[in-house]
Amino acid sequence: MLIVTHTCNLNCIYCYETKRDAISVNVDRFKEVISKYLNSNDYDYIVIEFFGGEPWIKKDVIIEICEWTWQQQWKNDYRFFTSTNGTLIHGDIQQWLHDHNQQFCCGLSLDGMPNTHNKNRCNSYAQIDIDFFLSNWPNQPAKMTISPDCLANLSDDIIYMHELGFRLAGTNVAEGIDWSKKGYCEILQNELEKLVKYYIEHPEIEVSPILNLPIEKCACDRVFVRNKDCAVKSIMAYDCDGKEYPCNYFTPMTFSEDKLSELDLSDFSDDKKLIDNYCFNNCYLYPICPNCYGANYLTNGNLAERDKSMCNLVKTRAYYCAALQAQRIINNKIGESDTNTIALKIEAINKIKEIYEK
Amino acid sequence: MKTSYLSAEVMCILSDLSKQLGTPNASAGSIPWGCGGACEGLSTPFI
Repeated sequence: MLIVTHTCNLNCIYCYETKRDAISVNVDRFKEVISKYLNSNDYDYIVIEFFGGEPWIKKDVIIEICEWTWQQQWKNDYRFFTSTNGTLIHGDIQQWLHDHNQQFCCGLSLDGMPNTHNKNRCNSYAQIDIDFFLSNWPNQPAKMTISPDCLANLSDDIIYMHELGFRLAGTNVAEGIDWSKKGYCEILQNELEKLVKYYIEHPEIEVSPILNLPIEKCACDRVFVRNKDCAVKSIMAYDCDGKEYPCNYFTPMTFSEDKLSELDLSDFSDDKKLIDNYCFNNCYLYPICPNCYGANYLTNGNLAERDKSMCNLVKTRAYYCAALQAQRIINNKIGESDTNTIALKIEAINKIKEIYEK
Repeated sequence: MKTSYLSAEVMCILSDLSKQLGTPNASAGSIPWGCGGACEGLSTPFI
């Protein structure tokens, strides 16, 4: 991950990147980093992601690095990727991306209906050419973030995204919010009840991640290991000046240099230091509870301790995931799951109903 | 929480199905789950 800028042309209400200083980009260092990974024997395939801020503020840097890379022969296969707010993808940038859409993919952040998106993301809906993203990368999921103010529109927002034609990547609640506040859970329950109905009526539509937790993992043996797809295991982030960080969260965009220097980066190599022991020992949903070590560090000052204000939201999600899975099993719409997975799912459905139904 | 999608009738059907499937192997599929989609940075390009 190459961080090409700390600045952004938006100021989204839930953004955790608070330090928006202008910092120059060390392009030569980025080329050195690319050479290292694309010639390495340790990998077969590399995703080179430009990150920000809004990466397209530095369109010249992105284009220079890509075209330099494409001119070379490399040992490893690779693709370029950016997450973007979409507002700067017009004119010559659109043309360049369209010309290279098999080598370069853009993932759009879009929060749902125009009103929702505008509330969260600085009235930027009208500045996005949504059809451009859908026509160039029809399989690329869009990313939605859920803010407290828009929670009551969640089902309509997700259905709107499906109707536009987007698959959905993360559908995550904003970090750093006190989600334990009274009322949020009841709103989420109403919204997820509506979404379960929608997905039962539309079995052909890929379920949003908010209702697609792999509940069968709760019925499996517990293990003390992180998923290999955790960012701090599979990403290296390089800031504009070329300095290396464990992932995009642990950079000077989010934490002060003092706070970063307090971190022992070897902490990331010891899985046991990253376990929230309270959750591991007490919560049935531990194996499927969304967790970001950067968000933990921001909220609680340590890597392992999870934000407990999210517990009721996760329980609500799991309960409605169980409801949807139950209906899909009965209607034989469970996809390619094997019989053991179905049996594990049924065990998890029973347990989740027993624990969380009142 | 309570939903009709997990009614007694639904649970009864699942219970019958569960008996047909037998006791699951709980060590199979016990792959740990990390960020659970919480990660802002981890994205896979679909081209």
